[in-house]
Amino acid sequence: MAALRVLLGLTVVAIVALTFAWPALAPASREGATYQWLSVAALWIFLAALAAIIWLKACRAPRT
Amino acid sequence: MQGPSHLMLSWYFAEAADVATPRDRRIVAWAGFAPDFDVLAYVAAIAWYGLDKDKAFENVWQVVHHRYTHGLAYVVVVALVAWWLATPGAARARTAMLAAVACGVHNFLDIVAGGPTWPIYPYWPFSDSSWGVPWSWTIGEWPNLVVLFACLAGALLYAKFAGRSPVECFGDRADRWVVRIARQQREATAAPGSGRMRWIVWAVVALVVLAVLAPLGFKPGG
Repeated sequence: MAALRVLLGLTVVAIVALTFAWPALAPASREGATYQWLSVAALWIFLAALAAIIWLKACRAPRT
Repeated sequence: MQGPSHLMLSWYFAEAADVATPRDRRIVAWAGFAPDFDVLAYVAAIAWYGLDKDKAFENVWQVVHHRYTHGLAYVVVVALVAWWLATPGAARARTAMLAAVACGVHNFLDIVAGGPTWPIYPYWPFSDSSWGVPWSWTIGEWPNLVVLFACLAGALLYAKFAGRSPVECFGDRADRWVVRIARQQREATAAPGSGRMRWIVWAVVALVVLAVLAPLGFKPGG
């Protein structure tokens, strides 16, 4: 769980950078393959890490 | 990405970050949805133009959507509002930070999965430069639908196994109602006001269905 949370945190940092820093630092690169590759990877890693944490939390939740 | 997806993903994000109270989870979840509050301008425009959806789209929605609420300045505003609303105590700043992150992630999701014709304006009001990508998935493409239906299925499963769900965004009673359904538990006695709650839940379901279908060009009149 801790490793997944670290992964989620790192992905969030990447997402914030791709959203708010990249457009200022490299405005001409919006159609470039690097931005596309990084963005799509960040999106799916974010969703996968989120799903994995939620899955683990559901498995560990006390049954009533 | 559809509005309900933003709301549910932000709630899951708050849950994954172990936000302790339902109130603070709600704040983070609605902060993640907050950039889409500009939809109110579209609703007002539809009313203004006498239910002429095309005119409202052309004159208002196309102009305002993503321009004023999808940027860094709005993220800061959302963080301040979240801090003001959050449960006072040691976790208050953390809730505000998570709300800002959820709002920022919404911006990113709209770049990747909002469609190529809907750029965001990350530095408005300081700069009017837009940022969008030509390969962005449109709202009806399969990745957006996969995320939406995974979130919905996850909500019912999480309600069953963990005893709460993203429906918490609409109130504790609504969430308990969904949890009871997911766990197939019957109410011993009807709680006072449960009839009203049933109408609220159905209204929310109807709104979610409309929020999903409207961007896909659903026209009930043919």
